[in-house]
Amino acid sequence: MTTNIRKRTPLKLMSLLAISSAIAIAVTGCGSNNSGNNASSSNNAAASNNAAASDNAGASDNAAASDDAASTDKELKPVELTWYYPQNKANPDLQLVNDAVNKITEEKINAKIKLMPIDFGTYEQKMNTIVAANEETDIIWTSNWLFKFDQNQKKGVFQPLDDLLKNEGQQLYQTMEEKFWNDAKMDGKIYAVPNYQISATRVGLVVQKRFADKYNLDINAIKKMEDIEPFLKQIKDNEPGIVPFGTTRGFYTGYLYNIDPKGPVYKDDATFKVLPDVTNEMKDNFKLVHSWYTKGYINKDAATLKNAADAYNKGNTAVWFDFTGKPGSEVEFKAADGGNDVVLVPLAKAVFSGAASTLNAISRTSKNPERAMKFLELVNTDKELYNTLVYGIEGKHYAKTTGNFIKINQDAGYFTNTDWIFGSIINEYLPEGSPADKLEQTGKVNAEGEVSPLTGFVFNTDPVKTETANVKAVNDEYYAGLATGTLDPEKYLPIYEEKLKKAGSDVIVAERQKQLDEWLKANGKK
Amino acid sequence: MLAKPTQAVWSQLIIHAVFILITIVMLVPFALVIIISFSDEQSILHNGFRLIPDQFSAKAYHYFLKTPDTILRAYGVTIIVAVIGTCISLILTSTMGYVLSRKDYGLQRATSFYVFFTMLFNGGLVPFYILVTQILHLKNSIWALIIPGLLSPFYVLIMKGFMSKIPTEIIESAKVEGAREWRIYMKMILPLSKPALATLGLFILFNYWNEWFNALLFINNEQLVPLQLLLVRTMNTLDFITSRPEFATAMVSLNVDMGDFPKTSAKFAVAVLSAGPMLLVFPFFQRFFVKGLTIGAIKG
Repeated sequence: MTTNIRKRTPLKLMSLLAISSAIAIAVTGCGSNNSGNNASSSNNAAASNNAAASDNAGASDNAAASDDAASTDKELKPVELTWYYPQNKANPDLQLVNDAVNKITEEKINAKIKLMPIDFGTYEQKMNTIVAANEETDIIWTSNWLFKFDQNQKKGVFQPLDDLLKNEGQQLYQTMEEKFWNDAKMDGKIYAVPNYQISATRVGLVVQKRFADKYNLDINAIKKMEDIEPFLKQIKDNEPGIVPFGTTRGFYTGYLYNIDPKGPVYKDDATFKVLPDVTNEMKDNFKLVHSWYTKGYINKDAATLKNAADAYNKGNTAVWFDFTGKPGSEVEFKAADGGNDVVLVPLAKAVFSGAASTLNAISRTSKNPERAMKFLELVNTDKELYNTLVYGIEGKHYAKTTGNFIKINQDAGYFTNTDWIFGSIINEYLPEGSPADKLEQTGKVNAEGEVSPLTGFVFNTDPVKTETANVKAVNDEYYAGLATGTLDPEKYLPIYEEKLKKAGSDVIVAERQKQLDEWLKANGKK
Repeated sequence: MLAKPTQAVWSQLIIHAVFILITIVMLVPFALVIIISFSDEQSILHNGFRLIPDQFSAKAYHYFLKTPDTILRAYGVTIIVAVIGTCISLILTSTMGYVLSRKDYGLQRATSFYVFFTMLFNGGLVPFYILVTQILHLKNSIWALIIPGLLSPFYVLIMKGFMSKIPTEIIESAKVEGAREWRIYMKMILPLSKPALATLGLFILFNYWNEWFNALLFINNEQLVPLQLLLVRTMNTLDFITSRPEFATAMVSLNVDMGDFPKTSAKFAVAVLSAGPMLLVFPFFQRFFVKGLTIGAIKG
């Protein structure tokens, strides 16, 4: 025993050493391990995405073959479809709503839907893994800003829908104009179903109603920015504590000056000459803003505010500029500016801004693409189904009031606030407070929305990466100051132009022109 | 005779002062985290981080705790996963480490290399995902949170290193006394390895406690979402929504005033919520190491 004990002493000492070194190694080891893992896993993900893509391409033939077999079978077999889409938060009553949805779909298309909402913050990551693993899914929500449509189409994630639309989804196809479908096309084939919502922008002014009424502002007389100036003066002189014009990044936009920002080119220019960064219109705009700023019409902190809403969310701003002009935004502005009613003053024609911001596509891995198409048609045409998805179960999560209006109970266990994820908003019930003609207005603005002849042109910045970064740095330094009138354009505009030139803005314009010409030629427009 | 006590008092004072300073240096950042998590967002924006903010506010906690059953369930899931995972993982790590440490095990080198190899190369995310979902069918199962973390080659090697320091004579003498392998392992090796078990146990526990990526990949069932994923998700979605103009109007109709939202203090509240329980666990383990070390020393 004594020998044993004696032997244990050095052992314990060693164990002390062992532990301390173990801790040291483990701590450092863990750190590097993790970063290594992350890096390698992302690489792997990328690599296997490609692999999966090619796999998919191969598998699609098989899938197509089995599809044919299925479509000859007239009787609809019960199937289950999975649908991945992003949400703000998890809803406790999802299962209840899912059951209610199934009740409708089982009756109409003999299919069950498995709703798979994922948080916005993790949607991209999770979908990338699911797609790379070739997991069987049926419908995947996609867009041009989250889980990007074009990139994933190139990877082969989605399947072409033209035949499906022709056979199963004729009714769906007719719900939207061709310009909507064009946005879901890649290489001439439709790969997704756009969710019909507001797809046009109409720049304009937002005026607090209490001031417009008090000073008898004639809204119809305001055709351009300068027309609002007398009103701003009245506010400045008679309303202490009220900011006449609130802004964060100024209000220079090509839409105000007959410029198509997709180029940017003049709309009536048949030669499609790409405009320089600083146009004459921009100079005039900056001068106007600066004069407003020196007269005290503009909030002093304009150049340093970060969020657009900071310009008006305190409720003490009389007028501000709105880049989107969405029908129904009166309600949203009212909620955001401290409960004050507002009126919208459109300043330019509505422009079709594209339908790719929310799409539902059918996955390559779907075993029942026909049924998925039928379901998409149903979501976009069936009022009951659509509103169940958006608002939940009537009587539990919302209550009908008058006409098409409903009262939402946000704490009842199902609240999405994302009508644009599920399908066409044309079928939706309106939450209390929305303008009664929101849907008509949406339809009207969408129909009126001018389609730019340059729709589809995407500038590839790769050849001018350095210049783009340099120009961005210059813009970060000067643009907000100039556009909000904080800096005197007499003095700073030449400096700004000079710095832009040094940063390589001319090179970018030349590259843009080159790419645009090629694009025009390829599309037979020049 | 008088000088000596004062000298001793002085040196003691200096030593105390030094240690008090060191303690303060360690405690202040920690206190700061807690205080910021209780600060009002506006006062953070205006004055930066302060030990005594202009205005206290529990808004951040209110945001996370407004649905207490969600967060309590998440705590429950995390605790279950961490406890079960750590226990099984310690058994696996110690048995494997022990086998690798036995010099009379013929394939010792080959097996060690096999373990070591997995440290350098792994299948990557997608094969891992496919393995768990399509071969093991663990999607939406609590085992998807436990099994992937059960055996870390790194810890196995540490364990092996520690156990190979245990003299072979102990094992041999136990054999002479008539003990079989299981008895040797249970009665001799495990008690002797307590310090290593405690250290690795703590690390494994931390790993399980902090794990959220597996849950992100494999868990769709809201009932099984662990604490860390819940917090990560909340923060991600918040960042996402607040950084996107598309959502500015959506948030307005959600009646969430983003200007007033405790974004910064929420981050610190997350840190407190997720790290707090671990702080309680740590001293327990620490006592364990110290005990294991000192007993031997005194007896020697």
